Amino acid sequence: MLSYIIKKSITLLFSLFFVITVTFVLMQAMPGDPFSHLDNIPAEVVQALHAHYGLDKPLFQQYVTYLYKILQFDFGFSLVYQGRSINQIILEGFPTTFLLGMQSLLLSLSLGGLTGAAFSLRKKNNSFFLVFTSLWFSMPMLVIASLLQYLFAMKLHLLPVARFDSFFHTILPTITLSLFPSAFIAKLFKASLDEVTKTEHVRFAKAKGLSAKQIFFKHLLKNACLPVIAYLGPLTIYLLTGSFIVEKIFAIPGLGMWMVLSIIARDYSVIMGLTVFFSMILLTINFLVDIAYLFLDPKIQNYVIKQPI
Amino acid sequence: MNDLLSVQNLSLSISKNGEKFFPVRDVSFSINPSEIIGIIGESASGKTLTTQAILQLLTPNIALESGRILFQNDDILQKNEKEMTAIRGKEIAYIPQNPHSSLNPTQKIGSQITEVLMRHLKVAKKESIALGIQALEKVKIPYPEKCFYLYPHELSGGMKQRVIIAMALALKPKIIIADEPTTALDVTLQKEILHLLKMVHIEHKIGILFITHDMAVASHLCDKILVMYAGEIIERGLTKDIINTPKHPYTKMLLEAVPTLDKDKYHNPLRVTAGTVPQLKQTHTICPFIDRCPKSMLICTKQKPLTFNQKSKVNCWLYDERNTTNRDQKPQKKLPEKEVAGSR
Amino acid sequence: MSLNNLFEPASFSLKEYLVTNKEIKRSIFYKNRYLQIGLGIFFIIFVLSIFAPWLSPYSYKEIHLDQRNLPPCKEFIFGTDDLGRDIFTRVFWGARISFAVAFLSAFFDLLIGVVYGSIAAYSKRYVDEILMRFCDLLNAIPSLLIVILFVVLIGPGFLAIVTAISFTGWVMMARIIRAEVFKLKEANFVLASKTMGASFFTIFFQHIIPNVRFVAIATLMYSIPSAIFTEATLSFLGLGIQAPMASWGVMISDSISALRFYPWRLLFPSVILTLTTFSLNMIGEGLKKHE
Repeated sequence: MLSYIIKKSITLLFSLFFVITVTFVLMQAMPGDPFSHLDNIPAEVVQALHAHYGLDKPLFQQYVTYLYKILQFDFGFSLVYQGRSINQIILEGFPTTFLLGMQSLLLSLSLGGLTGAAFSLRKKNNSFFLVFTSLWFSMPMLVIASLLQYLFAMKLHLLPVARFDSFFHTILPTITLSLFPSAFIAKLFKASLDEVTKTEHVRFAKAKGLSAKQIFFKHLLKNACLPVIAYLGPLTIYLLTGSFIVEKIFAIPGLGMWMVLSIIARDYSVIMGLTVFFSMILLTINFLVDIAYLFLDPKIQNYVIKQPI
Repeated sequence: MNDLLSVQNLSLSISKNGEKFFPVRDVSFSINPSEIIGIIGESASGKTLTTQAILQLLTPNIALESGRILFQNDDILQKNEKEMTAIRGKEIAYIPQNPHSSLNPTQKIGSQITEVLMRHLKVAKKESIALGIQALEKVKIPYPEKCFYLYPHELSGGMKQRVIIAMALALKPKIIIADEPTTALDVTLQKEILHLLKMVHIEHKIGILFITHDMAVASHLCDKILVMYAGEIIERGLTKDIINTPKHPYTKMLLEAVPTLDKDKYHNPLRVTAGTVPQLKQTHTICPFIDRCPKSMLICTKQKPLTFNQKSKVNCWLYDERNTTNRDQKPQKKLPEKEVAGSR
Repeated sequence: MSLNNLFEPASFSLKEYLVTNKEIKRSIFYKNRYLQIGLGIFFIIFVLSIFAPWLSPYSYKEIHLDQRNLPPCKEFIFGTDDLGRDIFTRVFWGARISFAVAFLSAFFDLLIGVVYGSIAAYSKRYVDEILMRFCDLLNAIPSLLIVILFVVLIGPGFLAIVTAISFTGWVMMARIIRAEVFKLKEANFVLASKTMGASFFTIFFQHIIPNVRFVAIATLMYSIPSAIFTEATLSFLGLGIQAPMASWGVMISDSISALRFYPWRLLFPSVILTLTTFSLNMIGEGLKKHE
């Protein structure tokens, strides 16, 4: 078992390393000089700036410095907002984005899980369910965000329009972010439940006279939630990239908004820094999912737990 | 009706391609704690569906066409799911065909036994563990305390089947339904499992409904045998009568198809009549065996055979009093026969 | 019929009593509601998009400064946007562009994915490991970010967007195809072909490829909407198709700020987009059911 965890950890580190390298390479490929937007500056000042940021050193040395800094969680400085370190940006923005992300995660899992389970236990035809969920994931987030904002905030004045000051402020953004994943999880979970219900051992459990509740929790759930847990990785990606849109529209000061602003302003170092950061989060989540699988998936258990270490 | 379990005129239907067909047609029999009843038939003869119907374990596409099943004078086909869960396991236990896939691979054996005990007997966990280990002892599993904490994939097939039987026994049910329990196991284990079942029957006075396609097994274990074909019971009676003097042409065919070590017979090729069990649309108009029967007569195409009492009860027109032709004559027509390897 | 005759030997065929396997219409449309609805809606939108240049008297870039932000009326069926352009025409021109982006990306996804997945499935264990590790690495960075970086690097434009989207989209297809090919490799009918002497290529093209069709198309039905959404997001970030070209993403992003006053500007592109992705999803569902 230990060797499995070690193997996964090595993969994690290696991927991180790869991401940092790629980011660095891309950053070098960005057109133009980072300071080209500052006009009317004498050449010596530009040179001094270059020296200050270490941009005049040989490429490889820059790379090593960059690597070293990142491993110390120092992401560097923003090019557009002078003096603002990316670390600062992350520290300011991450809690907000994290909060929003967690809320959306919880909402998606519970809404999706409950809906999927409810529809799986019904005996009647489930075409309504399929159509309904498909509808929800046909709408682009842009549209949902704008519509919700328009309807509930501006027209009906039920909820605040923007910013992130109170719990009520979080409601609309969370709902926007959760619609697609809820529908997806509902569909996934229901399909998985249907499949597990048909297996021999669940049918035998029924023949033994166990109550529906018992069967559900002890036999069905454990096996059926595997695909949902596997989906947590893509879900994180979705929440991260979705935050760009949601935070922009609802003016929430989180990492997403920073990312959008950086893209528009072509602030390359922030774009890269945030990219590396996002990748780190993603890789960590994937790692955790793999570990969770170790405890939940019987096939992996059989294969791994029986190993000597 | 003093029978413990009485199946009366059970018919099941399935809709396929817009047509209805009947895998189980007008089946009636009863079980008492003092007997072991065997149901014999080929695949698709409706044996498993009948037993699943008793416990309402049918998949939603199978509909109950007609019939009642009285358990202790109570029609259990009318009961709802909640009432059925009280019966399943506790009053009527079920032993499925494939022990390898019937146990939850991610749950320890002990836990699977105790959950049943806790549910039905409403005992605390500790007590259920003790009872569980006792149950494992009864089925002669070595080192039951250790086995309790193992996963199913760490046990052999025979042990798994014993565990399932232990689960079935632990609640002291009144009837056990065993659906081909030895089919998925090696022949060497067959004897042990059969012996176990017989002991259980004698010691605890539990009636057993045993399904099999193997005549030899049935002759060994059962007191009475029901032969099923295309969803109908075509012959029923005491084991010794059916094995020694089979009346229905189908029963005779089944017995003839059993390979034997008997010196006289083993040079002859195994004779098996070609064809399989049909899936029939209509229920009551003709005899279902008619296309494979070497002795089919005109009347067989007109009316469904009535039941005639010989030593066993047979559903065959051959045994009508009005039939003057010699029943034990050689077959009148040559049916396509399959030669099965093993001869010469 | 005398009593004697009744007991005479007779043979009989059970044919009319047997349940038949009726020849159900082999068409996959038969009773498949999802496919019917999905293909129906999609077909309508697709056809309309092809005829976009001829749908109305206006072109997609024709500006009518005196007729800005008009609600739907007789001359402009869907109304006009803030430069007085006809939304109806632009929606269906946008459909063309979005379809072009999505289908082209999906096509490359399919090509690369099938090739990569099949190679991975057929190679030795360690080669397969390496190939899959590479996929995992590519997945380490959120694909939208890669697309954004790409476009920032190369500059916005149709080709850049298509390349960028294909660059990350093939991974999912490759994974799924690989899983499918693994399963099929070991299937009995492939073994049977081998024992009869079929060459590798025969087996691959005649047996394996036809059987991955369904899975591939079902996955496509997921990648195409995904590509459409990505394009919309890019437009929102200013990295999408440039003006005066119309694409749904551009139209939606531009109309958000004016939602309060001119809701139809958001409404029509969104509805058509949603209908398109919905119909594609329905096609995917229908195919899964058919399988």
